[in-house]
Amino acid sequence: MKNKVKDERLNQNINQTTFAEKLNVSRQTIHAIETGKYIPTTTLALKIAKLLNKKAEDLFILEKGD
Amino acid sequence: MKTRFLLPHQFKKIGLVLFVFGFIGWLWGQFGGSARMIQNLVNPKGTIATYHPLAQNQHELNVAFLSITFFGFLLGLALLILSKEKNEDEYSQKIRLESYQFAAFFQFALILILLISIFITRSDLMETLIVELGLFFILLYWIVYLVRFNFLMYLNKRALKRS
Repeated sequence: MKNKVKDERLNQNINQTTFAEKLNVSRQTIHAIETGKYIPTTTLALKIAKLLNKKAEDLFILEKGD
Repeated sequence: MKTRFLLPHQFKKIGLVLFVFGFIGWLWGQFGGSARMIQNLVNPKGTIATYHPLAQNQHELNVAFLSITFFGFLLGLALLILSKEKNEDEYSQKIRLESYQFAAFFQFALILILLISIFITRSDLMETLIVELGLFFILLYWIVYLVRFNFLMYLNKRALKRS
């Protein structure tokens, strides 16, 4: 699964620390999500989508084999 | 994973101190350091006729020292394992669960290898060794978990700093 979280966060000029604080997670978690090392739970994915005013399916895209 | 079963992060620091000092103390005791220290305290000249009230209980004192340091080490290990991270979230919980799994497979593989080696060598010594290492296998599970979990957390912090 790939995601556009980093692109969208940067588009909206939100730094990683603020983003992590608003989502109540660590910066390591945000970094791991943005680099594709970690796929968040549905709860966190929906929280991210809500914070970025996007639909979850626009941020997280299924790839072949998923 | 239910993090309400985990202790607050502050306990991790206490655990680290107990773990390190307990282990060093126990190891020092195992190599005779504590026995020599006790002898120097209660019977410095090594004479048979000594009037120190504890001179006849040197062995018991040494056993008490070894027990206290070993239980300190075990308590430290338990606190390290059962404490939350500074920022405990779903990602650290995932690493925690994977580390439990990794430690279980590691322990299973080790026991399997040792059992196979008993059958191959047919050695009584090996059999006795494994029975005596029972406690060590339990400890090894938690130590492998602790090392893997903290190593992965460290790698994540380093990757974040580099980016």
